[in-house]
Amino acid sequence: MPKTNRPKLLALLAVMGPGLIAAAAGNDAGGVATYATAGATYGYDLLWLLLISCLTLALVQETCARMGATTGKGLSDLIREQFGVRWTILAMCALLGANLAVTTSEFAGVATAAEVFGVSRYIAVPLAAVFVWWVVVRGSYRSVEKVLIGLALLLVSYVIAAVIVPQDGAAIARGILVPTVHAEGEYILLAVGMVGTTIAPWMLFYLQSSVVDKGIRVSEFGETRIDVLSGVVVAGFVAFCIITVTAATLHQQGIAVTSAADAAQALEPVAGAFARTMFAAGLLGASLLSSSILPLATAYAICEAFGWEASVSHSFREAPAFFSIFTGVIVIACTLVLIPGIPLLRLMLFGESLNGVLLPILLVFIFLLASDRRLMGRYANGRIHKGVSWGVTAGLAGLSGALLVSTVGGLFL
Amino acid sequence: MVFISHILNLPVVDNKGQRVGFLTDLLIGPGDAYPRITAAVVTPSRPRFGAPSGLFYVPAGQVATLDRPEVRLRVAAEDLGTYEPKEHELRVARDLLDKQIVDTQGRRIVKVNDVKLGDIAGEWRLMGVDIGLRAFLRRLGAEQTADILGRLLPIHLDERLVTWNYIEPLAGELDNVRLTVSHTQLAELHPADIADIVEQMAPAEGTAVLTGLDARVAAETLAEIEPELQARFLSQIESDRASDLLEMLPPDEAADLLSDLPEPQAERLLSLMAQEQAADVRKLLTYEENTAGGRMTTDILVLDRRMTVEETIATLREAEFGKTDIYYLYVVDEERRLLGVVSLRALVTARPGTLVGDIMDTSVVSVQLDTDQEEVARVIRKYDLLAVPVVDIQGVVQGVVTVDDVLDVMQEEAAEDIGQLAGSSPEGVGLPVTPLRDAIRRVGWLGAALAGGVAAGGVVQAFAGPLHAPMAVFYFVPLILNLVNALGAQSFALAGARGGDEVRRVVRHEGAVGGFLGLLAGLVVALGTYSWLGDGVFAAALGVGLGLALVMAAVLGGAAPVLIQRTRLDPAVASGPVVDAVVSLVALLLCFGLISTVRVA
Repeated sequence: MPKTNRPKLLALLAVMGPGLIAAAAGNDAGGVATYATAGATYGYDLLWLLLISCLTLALVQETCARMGATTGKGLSDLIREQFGVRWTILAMCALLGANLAVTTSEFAGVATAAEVFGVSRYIAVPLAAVFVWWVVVRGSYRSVEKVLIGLALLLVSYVIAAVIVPQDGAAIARGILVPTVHAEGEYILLAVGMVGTTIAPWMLFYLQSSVVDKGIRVSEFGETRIDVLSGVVVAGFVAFCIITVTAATLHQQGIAVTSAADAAQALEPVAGAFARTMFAAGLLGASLLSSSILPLATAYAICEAFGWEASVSHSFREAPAFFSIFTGVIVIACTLVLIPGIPLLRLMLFGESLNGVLLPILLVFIFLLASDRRLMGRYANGRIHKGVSWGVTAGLAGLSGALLVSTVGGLFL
Repeated sequence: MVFISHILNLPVVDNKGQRVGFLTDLLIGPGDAYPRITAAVVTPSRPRFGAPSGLFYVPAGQVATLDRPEVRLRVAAEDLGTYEPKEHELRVARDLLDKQIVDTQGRRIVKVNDVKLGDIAGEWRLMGVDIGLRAFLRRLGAEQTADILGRLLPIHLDERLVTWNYIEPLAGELDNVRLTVSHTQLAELHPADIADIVEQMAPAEGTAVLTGLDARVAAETLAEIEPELQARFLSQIESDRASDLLEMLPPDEAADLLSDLPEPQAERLLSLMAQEQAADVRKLLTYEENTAGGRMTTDILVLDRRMTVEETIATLREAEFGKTDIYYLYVVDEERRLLGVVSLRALVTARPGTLVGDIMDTSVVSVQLDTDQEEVARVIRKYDLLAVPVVDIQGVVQGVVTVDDVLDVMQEEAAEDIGQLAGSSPEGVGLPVTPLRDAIRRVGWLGAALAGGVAAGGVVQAFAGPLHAPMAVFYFVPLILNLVNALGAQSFALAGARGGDEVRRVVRHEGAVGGFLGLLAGLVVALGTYSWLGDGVFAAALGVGLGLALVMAAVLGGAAPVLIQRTRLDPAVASGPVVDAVVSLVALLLCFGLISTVRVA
């Protein structure tokens, strides 16, 4: 970018709150893969679920931000203090599993993008792992943040692609407003994956911690609410663009997506070589951004729950658990991606689906905490709020259940 | 002493043993150094997920026992008193457990993993909060695992208790627990207590605390810190300050600290120390760490045999005390060779003009510079000493090893011995366990038996060709026999160790264990056989037969001790032949009977 633009850009970034950052980082490689597959396979048919997911995201993010502002504590802290050691371990296992799955899909995204550019994944993925580790551990936190935000801007390329491709407005409106359900395993997998990538568990922990770190009071909560909502709108809009782009091109032409590279290449006849490069660049940027935040957020959340020393500014000896978790998540995710012959796109999709399956477990904790009058005082969830929250949790649990049944059923049939 | 994690959710029974509810929490009235428990919070129904309902308070005076297996009351359920919780009172589990401990500057330090209670003069009081990993494992019901881990790995798994006087719950109900001692107030605590707190801090903070303390207190605190952490803190402190602290310490402790540092760093610190002290420490550093030379202190007082009692006492008055305690006064000749020992008592009761050489006890025990520390510990224990002098080959006194220098050696040795014992003893025999757990515990040994069976089968198979017999018979005979005999023997041994059990109970338990293991082994063998021979009918029949045989083996083996006891035979002698013979015969009949039946059909 030209040097003269930098101050303006930085000023803009300074306004970005934790809600915006969390939501933007939520549209990661797994998200791209899930949305692209959804658009290519079912056209506009899953747009209604995207709308519901975004509304749910707004509901949950607002709840977490409110909890952070009211109690001044992170989500892990609250779970530990209110539910004790055993339940905390359950919650942390769910979080660790979900985050490992998502981090794996991030590295799968790196591998995919690299292969579009003609670089072997056996070179690109380890390099990316080392880069991410180094940026977080060795760089100062300020510069880390700048690197991350700079990478996040590559997401704009999705929106540009959506503008270039001609769209059918009526079909889109129908897709959003009329739920179209296909009773197929693939549809359920994509649906759960879509929920999982839109409302990733790590985002909730990350947002609440950020609200606490910034010392936001519940009295000045209005701004935070706007920040959270604008984050959801941005994330939802980017997801919407990806789905409509792939629906208008790949689905129209009946091209099945078997890899994310397919999706990128399939855009070529429509939008020229430009679309392909944008797709890969966006994928790479989003993957690197999220794979920097995810292992870090995981380590912070788990250490917070167990009262262990946690900070990037400490040395390994000072915070061994923190660095072990951080490094372990990167190493395991990176290793999974490097298993020879593993289908990258499916890996990303499964990662997001696992996220979706584990999400209801964490939602139960979150909504129980948010309804606790002793904890939240007058900011606790009211009756209507509670009803909606539990309804949503039950719906998501049902969806996860359907996925499990169809997967297990698929194994035996 | 009892931990809150041990007693929460225990049933509460009245003096007639009738259950009135379950313990949900305890109320404490803060303010005391060790806050008194004022009431027990009880819920009438079994606690489940979510907030317990229908809580009532039982005054502490009506609680008779507060420990596993159940909380007993002094009174009958009808006579239960009521207790009105006061405004300032805290609930231990709700307000303390799992809370964050912060220091006075509001920095996060640790989590409250458990709360320790003690019975002091008939009143239950809160002793402190446990912040260690061990307490965390205890909450998970895995304290035994903690014991095993602690023996195997160099992980610190002791209790880490912060006493109540140092902590204060913050005003709001939801707030954290604050350490009341600020960094400056820390100095007033005993160095051992400061060390406990500093160990919990991040190195940067801990170092800041050590730097802020008075040099002598800082030095003593440093010496009290866990050996593994000492070097870490020492290397963080500025060199000038570090060398000052080292000078304050007795040479042996300074040497211990330096020996854990990388050599260039140790050398730099030594060069900054006063020359005389540095020389002492350097000399100590040359001795092996685990010998008398490595453990001794050189900072001692020796008496010339020609000194009078009066002169000696005068010397003692002038000598700079504080570095090490004086337990014994050693008497030497002109070349500093050890001659004898004089006790302070002998010195005080003797007439002033007497020579120390005349009142000394010449039967003095000493150790050599290179004597192993275990041997030194043994000598100290054997002769009931507080200290033992260390001499070189010429008999010249070099230093003293005191009982506290080897106290930890004694403990290490003891722990090692206990560890060995526990490792070789059949752990947990006779404990009442569920069949599933029992099955899991024993499955490994059966796996070994299976491996043995497969190997033996291979040997028999080698003969199958030359003998022109059906290969399967030869291969599977040893496999079946090994498995059923192994399980029968296990059941026999464990049932025998439990002893006194009724036949019916044993049969039910062993039947369940055999069921689990039979299902598992049957499946494994059937799958293995199928993938090898490709004959589904044969594999299924073998699997079912083996499964049934294992159930039978477990039941027979388990019932055998009681049955043999009834026949007045010696169980140890009778077990092998009787049980094995019966089990083998029935197992082979079952398996091959089944196989031949399905073959014919």
